[in-house]
Amino acid sequence: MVGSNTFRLRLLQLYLPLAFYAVFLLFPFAWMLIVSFKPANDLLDTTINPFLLYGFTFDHYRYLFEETDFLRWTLNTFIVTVGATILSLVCSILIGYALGRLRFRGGNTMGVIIFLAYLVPPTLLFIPLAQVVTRFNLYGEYWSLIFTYPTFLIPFAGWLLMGYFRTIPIELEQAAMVDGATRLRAMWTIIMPLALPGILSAGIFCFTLGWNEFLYALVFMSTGTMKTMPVGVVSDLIRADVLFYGSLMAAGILGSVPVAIAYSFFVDHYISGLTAGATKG
Amino acid sequence: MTDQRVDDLVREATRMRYSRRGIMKRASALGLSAAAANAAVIQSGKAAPKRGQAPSVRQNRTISILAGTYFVPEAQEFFDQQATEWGTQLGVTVQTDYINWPDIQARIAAAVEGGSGPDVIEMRDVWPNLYFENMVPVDDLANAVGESYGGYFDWVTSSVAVDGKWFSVPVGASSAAFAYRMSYFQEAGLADPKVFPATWDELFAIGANLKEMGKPLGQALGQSTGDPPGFAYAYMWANGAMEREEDGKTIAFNTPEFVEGMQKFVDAWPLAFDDTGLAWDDSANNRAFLSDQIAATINGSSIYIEAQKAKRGASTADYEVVVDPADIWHATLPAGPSGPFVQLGSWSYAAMTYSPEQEAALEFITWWTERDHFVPWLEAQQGYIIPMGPGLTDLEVFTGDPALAPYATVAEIARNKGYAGPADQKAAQVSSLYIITNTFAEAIQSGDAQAAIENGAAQLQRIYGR
Repeated sequence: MVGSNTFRLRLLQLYLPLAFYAVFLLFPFAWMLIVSFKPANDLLDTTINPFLLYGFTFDHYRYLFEETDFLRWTLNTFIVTVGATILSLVCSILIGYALGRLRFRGGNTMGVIIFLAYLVPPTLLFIPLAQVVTRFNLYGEYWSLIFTYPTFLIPFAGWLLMGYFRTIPIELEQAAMVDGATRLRAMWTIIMPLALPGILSAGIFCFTLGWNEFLYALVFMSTGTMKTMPVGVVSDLIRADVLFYGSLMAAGILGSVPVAIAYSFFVDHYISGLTAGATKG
Repeated sequence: MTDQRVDDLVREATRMRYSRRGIMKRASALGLSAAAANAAVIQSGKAAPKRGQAPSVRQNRTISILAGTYFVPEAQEFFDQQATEWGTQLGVTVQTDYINWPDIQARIAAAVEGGSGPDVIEMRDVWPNLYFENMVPVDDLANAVGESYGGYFDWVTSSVAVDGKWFSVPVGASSAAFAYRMSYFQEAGLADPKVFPATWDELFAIGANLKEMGKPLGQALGQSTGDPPGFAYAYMWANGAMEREEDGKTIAFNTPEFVEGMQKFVDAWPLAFDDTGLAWDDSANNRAFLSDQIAATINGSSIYIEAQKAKRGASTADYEVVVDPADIWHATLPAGPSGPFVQLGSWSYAAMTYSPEQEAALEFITWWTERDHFVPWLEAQQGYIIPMGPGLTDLEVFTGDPALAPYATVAEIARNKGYAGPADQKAAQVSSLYIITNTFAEAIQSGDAQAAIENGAAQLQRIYGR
């Protein structure tokens, strides 16, 4: 189908569905962009086409930077997300390697259990986690999120990496060990470079989820200026029944940039990482 | 012997951060007398100060206060100043945090489970019924505050007190009334633009004219916590129905009067209301009104305040406010066969039992609810918050501008969620599931008032009938 030489077929079966899909996915971003640049008096003018810009303003962005702590929230989000991503990746690599490579009693069951942990909704998990955060006196600290985000990052990333490690021929590792490498050295020097696409895709996954997370950030770190971007934006740009739509959209657009950059750099690795093992029996 | 045990208990309470209640429980477990338990409470610094009593001065304390982000930014800044002023006097560092108010509950849940969090929390509506086990009892303080302001309105007591006991001190609430454009209503046939239609039937009739003029009535009916239930509960009560009888269990929702009233509303919806209202949240009707899309809506005074701000060039809205505040008037909600009603639930301030600084937290609430501090805060709200009792409704902020007068007077006809029962946990559950609001939305969408009400009644039965 994709390789069809008939333009009409390619148009109908490839380009049109792709175009529809692209519009469907990009529409929210286009809408955010339009609203964030729309002058105040155009925002609710029902006589004009809402999808077009008839004027242009930076006022919503100016408000975001001058009237709120947006930059501080961004820094907080970055610190927390990077910290949680690194911690989650380290744990996930070890889990993925152990479950994907080593044969031990209960290994498969453990793999399923770890994945099932991903299905526990944060709305249930934040209650017991609150007790943990309190016990370690971490309220309002970056560590409260760096330590709690892995509860939902590790299960999926570990599962993803487990599948990826299984796609790498075990003979490579065995050859290294025959040559005298320890398991750790074989893992580090032979397996890790080969698993880089999978690790990158797991990293992007962790980064994205951590960057957007709301509930844990709200309950564990939302005092003073110690707020992440999702929490800060909602706290300061919604006043009772007044929502600052323009600035909310501006924050949404700016908040998407780091994730978009991360994806654009590593998109090839991300795709190969996610699809690894998909066709391997 | 007893002194030694009291000393031990005080040390244990300090080390383990026991609350006042925790100390009392532990004292009971140790077999201490009531006098000894009280001594331990006092020595641990957990005793609640009496109103008017000079607060204790102990340095290096820190308390945090969690509240919803204010609609009136100046009032939020004023509260910060008050907290700082109080803290400076007593050597207490006060940290105030404001978040989107529906998110406060998640913070409370985490705080009570973790045993750590804000020392003082602004409770909304029926929340005290949900978290009272983690709130410091304040019977004396709440009663004293009530007495000093001429008592509490019934809906305040019903929504804040838990089985007759106070765990938080009421401070009033945002109110609800019809905001409407006098010029449009006059054009639509209202003889005196300052005399709003007295009944829902009259309003629907004028609404049909307004819609023909392109300026319909606007009613939010989405799953939102403010304006949609503000209408739905009031209309239900006005048409002879309520969630339950006084016994708290018998459902009184599916009544012939209400079915008839609901059918009138369903019939009026396409003729008199903005059709998009089914998807509106609390903010949508503000925008629709201020951008000249609709002629009237039920709301707090935020619409009027925003229009005034816009007129003096100080609007904080991110859209153009095109309505002149001189054309805005307010009215209490119209009457149905059973009369006029409005749904209100008081806000209140609580000191939390997990707080190691309960004493300071209570001192702050005590200080802040004194007339010299509370009235200026109320005035800083520019009429957005109405007081918790009739003793403050004659303040200039409520009487100075006749356009705002209904916001204070609706307090006299207000009922709490869960009426005729108290605003207890079950009422809170009904509210959080939007059962009443959804019944209206379902009736409009299906056109079958009877079926929608039967469905709503069945859902109420499942909750209240347990």
